[in-house]
Amino acid sequence: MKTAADGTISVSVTVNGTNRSADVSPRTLLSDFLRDYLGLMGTNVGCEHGYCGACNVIVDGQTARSCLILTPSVEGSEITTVEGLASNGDLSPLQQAFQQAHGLQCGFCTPGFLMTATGLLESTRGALSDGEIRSAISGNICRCTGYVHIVDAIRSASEARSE
Amino acid sequence: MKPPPFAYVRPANLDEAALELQSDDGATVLAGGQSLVPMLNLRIARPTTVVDISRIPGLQGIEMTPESVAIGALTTHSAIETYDWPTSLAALPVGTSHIGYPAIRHRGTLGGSLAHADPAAELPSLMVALDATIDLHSAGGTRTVAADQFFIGYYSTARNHDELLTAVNLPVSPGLRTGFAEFSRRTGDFAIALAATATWTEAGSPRARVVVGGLDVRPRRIGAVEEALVEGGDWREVCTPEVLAAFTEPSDDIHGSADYRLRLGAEMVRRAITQMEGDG
Repeated sequence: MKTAADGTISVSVTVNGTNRSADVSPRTLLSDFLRDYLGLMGTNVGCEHGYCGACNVIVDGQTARSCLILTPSVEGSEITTVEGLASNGDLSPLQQAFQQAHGLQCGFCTPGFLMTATGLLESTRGALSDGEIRSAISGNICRCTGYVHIVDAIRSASEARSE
Repeated sequence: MKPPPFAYVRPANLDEAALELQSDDGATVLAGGQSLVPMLNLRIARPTTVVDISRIPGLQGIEMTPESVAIGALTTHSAIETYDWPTSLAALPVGTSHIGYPAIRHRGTLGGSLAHADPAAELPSLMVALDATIDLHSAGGTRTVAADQFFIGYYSTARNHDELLTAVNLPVSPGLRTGFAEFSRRTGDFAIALAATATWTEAGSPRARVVVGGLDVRPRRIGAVEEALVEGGDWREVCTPEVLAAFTEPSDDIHGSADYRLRLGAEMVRRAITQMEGDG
């Protein structure tokens, strides 16, 4: 069934383990759906055309740019945002590593880095090399840190899990 | 909302999708969305209807036989990058690893990249080098186009508006070797110059493809280097900016001058062939 340009389409997705439904315009980006419909403001919107990585989330187990996804196209998907990383108020080991290694300054890019690094840690095993980490975060832009402390944080989280 | 308004339809199968395209001149196809959605967000693309084919069954996956490989149009870059390819097809994972970033490669598709036909993209040049054929499906039937004939110009292909790109077939000929090299200023950027190469034998005769991308409006075969590879001569002698200039029409832009692109193109060809010969 075709949805008209000025019409709405019903979308149902699982976000951080909870089923969420809404009627949205077909042109609603996933980043806007998360922020404006669900009030999940952790997913930041930077460039909105796929370069900066601030809006990265995990869709069906893989990192993705939420600004490059039309919400109706992920009907039925499981989505994890930065709000889904902590459990019962306890930061994830990766979030703790960012805190301890000073892996953030202004914090705008941090949710995107956390989701990218979460995806990286979930798809690899053991301690990661700086080369592997830098390759994985090549699609996330940070204008404060110079990346060194971000790499330190991710390396530290990868070492901690292999102990 | 950044994208302009458009109608949206998610057809259940190829035939329904083809009818949507046939009935609407302004419709466009959504696969992984990693080229289309940035264009929507920038309002460079203003389709009347987005035909979302991402859920259509049967368009995903890699099927390998001793003689050929079939790759479905919805196969993602990361699926190609991580597939267990034989050494003969080493250029495929190397080339796809240069596409954007991991989060882009998780969703971007082979068919989407080929239909989009960015002249600096990796897959169009790779498909020409690997002598691929491209399957197209419309309400009127199906046809197959050689990759060498598919790319016409900037973002322009032999695909008609009402056709869907469904699969790519790659021959795995005896003695096949492949190579790939690319230069961009930052990881994940489109190439300033790239090269994809292949050599194989067909009916006992040596064959070669040498393709450069990023230099001008579409992937370009460099016939002089292909001939040198086939004849077994010193290909390095013809792998020069002057020779590349006879087969390409590079222009100056913010990323580099035409002269720089020719030099870089020649170097990428050298690297791709050296990598290819090293893999043998």
